[in-house]
Amino acid sequence: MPDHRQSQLQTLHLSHEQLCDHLLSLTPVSAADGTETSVALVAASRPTEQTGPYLVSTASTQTNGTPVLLSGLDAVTAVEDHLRACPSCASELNSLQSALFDFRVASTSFAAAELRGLASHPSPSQTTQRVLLLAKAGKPISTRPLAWAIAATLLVGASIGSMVPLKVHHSAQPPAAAGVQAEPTAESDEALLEEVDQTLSTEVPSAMKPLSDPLSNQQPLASNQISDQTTGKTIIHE
Amino acid sequence: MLEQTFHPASISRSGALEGVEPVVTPFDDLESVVALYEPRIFRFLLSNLRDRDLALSLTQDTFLRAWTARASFRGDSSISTWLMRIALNLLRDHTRTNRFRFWKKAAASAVDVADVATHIPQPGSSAEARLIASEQLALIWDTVAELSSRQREIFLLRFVEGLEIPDIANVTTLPVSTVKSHLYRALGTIRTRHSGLATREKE
Repeated sequence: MPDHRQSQLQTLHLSHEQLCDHLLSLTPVSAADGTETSVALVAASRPTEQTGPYLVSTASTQTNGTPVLLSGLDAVTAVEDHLRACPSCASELNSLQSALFDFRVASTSFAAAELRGLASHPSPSQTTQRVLLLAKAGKPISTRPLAWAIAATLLVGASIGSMVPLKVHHSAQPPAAAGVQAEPTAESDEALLEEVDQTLSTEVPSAMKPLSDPLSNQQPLASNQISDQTTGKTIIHE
Repeated sequence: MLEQTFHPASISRSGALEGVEPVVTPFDDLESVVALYEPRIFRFLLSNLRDRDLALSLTQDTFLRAWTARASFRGDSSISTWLMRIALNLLRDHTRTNRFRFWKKAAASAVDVADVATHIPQPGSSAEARLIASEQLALIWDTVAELSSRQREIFLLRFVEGLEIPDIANVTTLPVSTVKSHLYRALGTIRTRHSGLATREKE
């Protein structure tokens, strides 16, 4: 194998698509009939550091001049060769495969345990009877929680609705009353101002009429008489 | 493709419209179908919804819908694929609304990742290895929750249900190339997070 080729295999890492394709090719598929996958069957394919497909061998330089990018089977071989030569890619892939495996097994086992443990879980025959009854009634099962949710929402809404007017009654009435009083006050102010305007617009108010022509309704004083304006009495000087 | 394994003796004739020849479907023996496929449908819905009660309700709805639409089952796909497609449609209908997201947060039957972690296979592993496995599971669990709904569906169909890519394309009614694209993206996100965790563990 040429040195530059071996160097390329050792320095370039797998592309994301190559890694994914290889990961997908190694992930176990479900049973052929599509029924429940045995946890034990999946567990049997658990990758380990000792037996995993990405074991990094110390004698892993058997690239034999394989090109890095090929199609089909050659590409798979090239990826496997690279994984033997590249500890970094092999380690990452091994760790990722192991984590995904644990995720699958744990999810599968957990769901199976949950289904068995659910108190509301009926047997297949009970489920069948239930489904047949509901099919006759024409009602989906999942609408029942929704119906309860809607009912709860309406109940909460109704209780809040019944409380809101009470709060408004106690807390909002004074401002409302103030508002009611405010309108007449404004009207009375305007009326008062209009009245003042009218009063001012008259040439001489009735109360001021005596001042406007003080001599009009008085007899002329004699030369020796002085009118005391404070008392209104006439003082005669001799 | 997945094969259906139904014994002919278990198949009965369904009542159809009067005057029309009844159509024979595997779903006429509903009890057998439920017994065979309920765990899988429930698991798929539970891993998506992460709510026990909701997953059970939708599982039963899946069989209800399959029963009512059984006359349209022509056997072009396997029973499992057909049921999974129904379940996926129900799931999408249910998760499409914001109402679901609100109730999901408040659900008392929501699944905790710590409960799932107790099911990690740990044959003879050390305490440190178990801790690392739990952390990795939690990381994938959280990352899957953050994926787009389409990526999550496809990821779970492949890495939990173990469906082949053509079967996933059949269930999701998406082209194979689109399925692969979603898988690459989902794995890209998980790979990034996983690498970060591995780096922290080494430190």
